[in-house]
Amino acid sequence: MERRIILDPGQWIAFMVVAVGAMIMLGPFYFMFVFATHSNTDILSVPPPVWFGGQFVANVQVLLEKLPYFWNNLGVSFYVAIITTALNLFFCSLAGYAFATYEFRFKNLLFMIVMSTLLIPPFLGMIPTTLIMTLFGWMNEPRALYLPMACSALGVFLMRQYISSAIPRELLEAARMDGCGEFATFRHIVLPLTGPAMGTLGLITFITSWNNFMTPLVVMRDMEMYTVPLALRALQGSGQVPWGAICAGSSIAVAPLLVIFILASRRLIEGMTAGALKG
Amino acid sequence: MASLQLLGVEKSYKGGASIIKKLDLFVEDGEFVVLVGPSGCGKSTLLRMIAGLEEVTAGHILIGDKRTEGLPPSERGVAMVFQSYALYPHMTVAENMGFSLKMAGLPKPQVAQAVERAAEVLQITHLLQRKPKALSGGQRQRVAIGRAIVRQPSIFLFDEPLSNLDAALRAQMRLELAKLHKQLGTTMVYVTHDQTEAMTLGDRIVVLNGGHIEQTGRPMELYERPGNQFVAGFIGSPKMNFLPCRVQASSERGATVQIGSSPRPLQIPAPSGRVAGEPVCLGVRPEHVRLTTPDQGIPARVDIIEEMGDVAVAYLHVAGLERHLVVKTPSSAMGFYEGGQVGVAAELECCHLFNQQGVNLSLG
Repeated sequence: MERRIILDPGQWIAFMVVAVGAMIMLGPFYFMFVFATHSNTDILSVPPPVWFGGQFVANVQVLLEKLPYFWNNLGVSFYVAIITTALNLFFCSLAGYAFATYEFRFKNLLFMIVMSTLLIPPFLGMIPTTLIMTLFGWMNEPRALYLPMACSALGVFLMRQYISSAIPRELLEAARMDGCGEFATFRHIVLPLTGPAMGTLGLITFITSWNNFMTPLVVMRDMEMYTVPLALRALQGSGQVPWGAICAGSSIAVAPLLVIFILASRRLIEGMTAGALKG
Repeated sequence: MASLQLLGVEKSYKGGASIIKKLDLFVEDGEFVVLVGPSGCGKSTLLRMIAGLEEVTAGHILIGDKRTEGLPPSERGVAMVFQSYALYPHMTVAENMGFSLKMAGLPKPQVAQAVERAAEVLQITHLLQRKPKALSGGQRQRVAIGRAIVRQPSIFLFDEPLSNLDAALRAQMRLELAKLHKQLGTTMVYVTHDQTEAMTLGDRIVVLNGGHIEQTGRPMELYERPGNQFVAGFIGSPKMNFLPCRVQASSERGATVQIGSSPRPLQIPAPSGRVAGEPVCLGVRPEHVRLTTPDQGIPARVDIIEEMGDVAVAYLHVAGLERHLVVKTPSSAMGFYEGGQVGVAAELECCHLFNQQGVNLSLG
């Protein structure tokens, strides 16, 4: 039977506030897709277009004229995001597992140090990162982007919280009784059970890496090694700004994220709340 | 199958109190030993030490002739059934049961065969392809036991395995565990705080308190001849009545004591040589107290009656006693009511006298 939900006035107000907030958030996003299908003249006219037009292919052509390496840039972004995500999942889950289950000297102090790195503004790390990458001769190479981001404090925290709340100690002991060593316990028991947290961390890391602008700006020199955000930014400095092409590029760039998010949003929410509910 | 020896085993944590204090225990090959004791007495810690999940601070544990120092849990020849079952939620029942053999590198057909055999013993063959979340509490418990059986261990270790089940299921599983022990004949060490489990399952019960053994013995031996006041109070439900009193006289026939301000002294079997005026504690189980008319026994007032169906438990107020005297009597024989006056008589040959240190004087 269909169940009707009756909202009281307070809930209506809350609902409206959330709806308005959602529209404010989604507005720019929507207009990015709309502008991707209009010419520059239409976009700059008053009032601007509010519905989709037919200039998308033309805008993509402009984009590819101005950014001949755009597909290459997209590939670099993908490569860096995937490697960063894989490294993060590997290292953060291992570190989170260690912090959640092992007892060792200075454990709490170490965890506090890891967590305190969240308080450091990322810009402060720019110069040292650049110096180190120059020293290693890795400037203008993708590894200069993914290696400094191989393990994040947020990821360690997320995995630690999830493992300590969702995986009971007895399960790990049962694995030991069954003949698992430390890594086998992690591989056969912990890893399969941390799916929601891994999904969440993977998504956050992928999006962060995909959207990263500052680090590529500092370490990438050749246009063909640019990531997508950097490449699109380069368009703005070339005479008249081709807004339609920029929006088309942005739409193409955001499409993979959108697909991943739609597919994984449920898991993302599960991963975010699992610790809180079970803790 | 193997025997188990604990020789001077100790456990303490850094900067913390000592959990197990120089404990010696021998478990015979094929014996079913139950470790009981109050919360925090160290029974689970002891089990985990045998399993290899906790390090031994001092002393030795021998499984068969093999010393276990430095041996990882999987190489000790023991299998443990956890309180929470600890089934791997992402694996099917068959995968759960065969996991240890898989880790040992056995070929798949051999693993499947062993799983099938254990499943038949526990009658869970139809559950093999299910995940743990699709099982009831009793089924999960069976799978946990099956996982242990598959390993063909020398010793089974059970850590309060029935405590998460409801009363009816617990009784059923208790019976099945007893049958399993008969069928397999393997040494079993079982931790519980449930007296019924201890009394019904164990060939021998080990009563632990504060990290040391208070007494070991057959279940009825502990019930009938508790070595001290702790064991007397711990074994039996409702627990034994302890009535502080003083020795009035002592002879070959026993010690005469006075209960509360009762004018009728009782003669309790105890070795002679007790000193008149010596403070002692009379222990009498609720089922060994009879209710009579007020003029025949020690006069008392019925304060509360708990009807249990087949039996009734009455809480009596006896003049001069601070605590209630508890009486367990068949419901059919109950001819009293709350607030009524009754007389109390005890089966004297079942009474115990404990000295100030709690030692049972009646055992001689």
